[in-house]
Amino acid sequence: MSEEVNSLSASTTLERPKRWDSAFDPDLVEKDFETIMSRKEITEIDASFPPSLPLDGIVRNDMRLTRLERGDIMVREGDYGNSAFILIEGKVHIATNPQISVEQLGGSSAKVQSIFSRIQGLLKKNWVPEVRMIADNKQLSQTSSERPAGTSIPNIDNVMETHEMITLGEGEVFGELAALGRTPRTATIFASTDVVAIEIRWQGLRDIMKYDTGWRKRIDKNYRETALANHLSNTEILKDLSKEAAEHVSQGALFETYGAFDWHHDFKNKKSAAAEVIIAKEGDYPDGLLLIRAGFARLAKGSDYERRTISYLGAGDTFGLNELYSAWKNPGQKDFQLSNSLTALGYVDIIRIPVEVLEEHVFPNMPEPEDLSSALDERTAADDHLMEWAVDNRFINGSQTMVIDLDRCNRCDDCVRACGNTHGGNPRFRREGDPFEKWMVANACMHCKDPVCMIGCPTGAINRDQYSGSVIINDTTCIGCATCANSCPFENINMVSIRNLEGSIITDGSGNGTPIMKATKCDLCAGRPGGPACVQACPKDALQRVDFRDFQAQARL
Amino acid sequence: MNEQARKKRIIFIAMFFLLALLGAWWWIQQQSLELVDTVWTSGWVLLASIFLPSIFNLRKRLAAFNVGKASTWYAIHVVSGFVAIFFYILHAGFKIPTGAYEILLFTLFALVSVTGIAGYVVQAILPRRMTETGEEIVYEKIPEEIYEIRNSAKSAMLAYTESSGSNLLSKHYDSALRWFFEQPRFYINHVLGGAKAPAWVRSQFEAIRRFASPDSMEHVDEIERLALHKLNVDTHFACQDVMKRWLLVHLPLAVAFLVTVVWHIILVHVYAS
Repeated sequence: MSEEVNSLSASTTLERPKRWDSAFDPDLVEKDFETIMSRKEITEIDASFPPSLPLDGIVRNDMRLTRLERGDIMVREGDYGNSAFILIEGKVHIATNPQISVEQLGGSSAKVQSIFSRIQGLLKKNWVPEVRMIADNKQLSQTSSERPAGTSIPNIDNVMETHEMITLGEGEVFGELAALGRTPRTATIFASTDVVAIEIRWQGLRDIMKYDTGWRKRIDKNYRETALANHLSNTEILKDLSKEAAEHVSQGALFETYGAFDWHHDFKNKKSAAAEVIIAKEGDYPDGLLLIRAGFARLAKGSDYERRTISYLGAGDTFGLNELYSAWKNPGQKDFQLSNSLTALGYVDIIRIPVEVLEEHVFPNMPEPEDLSSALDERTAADDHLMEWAVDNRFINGSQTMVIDLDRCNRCDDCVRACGNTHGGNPRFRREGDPFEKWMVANACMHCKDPVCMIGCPTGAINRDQYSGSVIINDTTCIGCATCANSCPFENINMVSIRNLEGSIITDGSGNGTPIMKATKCDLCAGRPGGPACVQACPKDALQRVDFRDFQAQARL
Repeated sequence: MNEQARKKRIIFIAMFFLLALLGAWWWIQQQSLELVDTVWTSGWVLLASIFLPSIFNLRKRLAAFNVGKASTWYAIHVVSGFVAIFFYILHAGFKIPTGAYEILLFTLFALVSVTGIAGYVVQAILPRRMTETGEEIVYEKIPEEIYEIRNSAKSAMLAYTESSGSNLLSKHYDSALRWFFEQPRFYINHVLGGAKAPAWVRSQFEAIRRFASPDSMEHVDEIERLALHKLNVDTHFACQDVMKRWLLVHLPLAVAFLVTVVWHIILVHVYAS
């Protein structure tokens, strides 16, 4: 034994981690594997996969059989799912009119606090933090025979009778657009009978699409028919195209993804040293216009040590337009090349419009785009330093990032106290963080544009408020699994044990004394008139909630 | 918040109070010309200008209510505080009072005003001094931070002694550096923004480097890095401590002054009627 320990401690090698070290379903039984392998969706695959990526390996590691009971929620609107489904038994339904309410799906909407409840809170100040009324926090499973709130549609018969529905049956594929594009699910799909489905995680789906034309065509066709036209019509340079030209662009568009879907794990460990996949390289020939569909990309100039971040691109932005337009406008000119590089900050989903399509259907009908490159060329490294910091730390992901002007902040902690006062005595942020010049991004939920915390919440408790768009947690349906807290790359979600009015920690009644935990985070004081209390409480106007796209110009004033 | 909008708001508040001040002064002058005893008018105007700054503290307790931005209340607090000084002089005259109670009132008002102005100046200067350190340290975590720095410095000192076999650094640590790493030092110097503290640290390490073993210099570098970090922690401690303690002086004085004002009003009304 001691020899073994010695040899292990003396070893300097380690087996290289592999893609399939962690299977989608580590407990996949042989029978289920064979069931999936025998399905026509798999048997009809006619592609040669590389030896390192065999089809049966993809099935074994990237797929699983999901069995649901009638009423179970399969896909929840607004969730950030990472898998697609192929229905193999039973039926599922999508409620179209009226849609299923957020509350029925386990989420919550911010409700405006009444003046009486606020006065009551002021008069009945409770010095015990994180107090919950046990009766209010009981899950449906604890109060009746029904399943936990958020995992199934309550009163399924009534819902089926009162809503207009779309029915999906055996062989239908769904959920692939959100899984590949890292966009929120656009509809809620629930089991209307007992259901068996093949669930494929996005990595496997991407690999099959890469090697099998049939799957690629099927998924692309789905996307072209449902979401592409909408995306293109929302892109500035394409929105005024004629119907015919738009159809040509839609048919010619190519779909690409870069980076890792679960980038947040890598970023959490490596921070600014996290890997960035190159999408386009400065100096290369521009062969298509890139439209960012989801995620973020770093726009940089120079290479290696001299690489300087100029800006970042997010959903709806384009890359390469000036170069392509210039090449089309001046056909005699040679050596057209990209003036900047583009790298994926995490996961980026891109639509590439080939240059031939642009030259035939887009450029002739559009005005010359504004040339921003000369203005960018004049910028010094100092001008871009703040953006470099924001991009390196992924603060650009935030839509409501808490930034404190340290030159003005007198460290009175009135912001922290105001937060505590509006959240049952426990502040939802920490006035801490690494400063840059006079700015500090505090540890407060940034209400990310790409909220990775929402991936994997089993009950849908963490969700976007349908009105404000902020990311909020439904305390009642939160089961305290800490998936969101572990996913948040900025460590802005805290798990707390809840207490009763006497201050005793509420336990699960199992006899082990295991406390009931809840995820807590900044909710932008949802329901409080006037917006976040922290911003309102700062006597020096030192604290603001910003989107970094607007903030850079303001910060440099 | 947009810087221009912020400035506009402060200018608006300042202009509003300036106009109010001029209006009140003109009104009192008119009364004086009409041979009316102006002490009552100036007294009530003074009370109003004292009342406004005092309600700022109330704002902090109403976090759940939308009662406007605290920065607006703070601007009103500061501007109306300055206006109160003017009205005090108008009400009591530009003289040192003679009666015991008037002396008490005058002293408290002077102290509240002086501490208020001092606080305003301190809050304008010290945050920038802390920003210049390039670090941000929460006041309550400073003892923990110093504890960790001290432990790391001790470890580096022991590592130097072990690797070089010399007691040079350990002796120097015992005689000088231990004092520095023990607790926050150079308090006044950090508050005043002097260069004494960094100069002291520099001189300590210059003295060591002349004789230290070149092979073990990395440990000296490590202790110097810790000492420089400790300087930043000390700056934060001194500046944040002043900003917290200042309020502990200003606030009780303000409360004491308000109590004496209320008693003053009661006395004046009882005896004047």
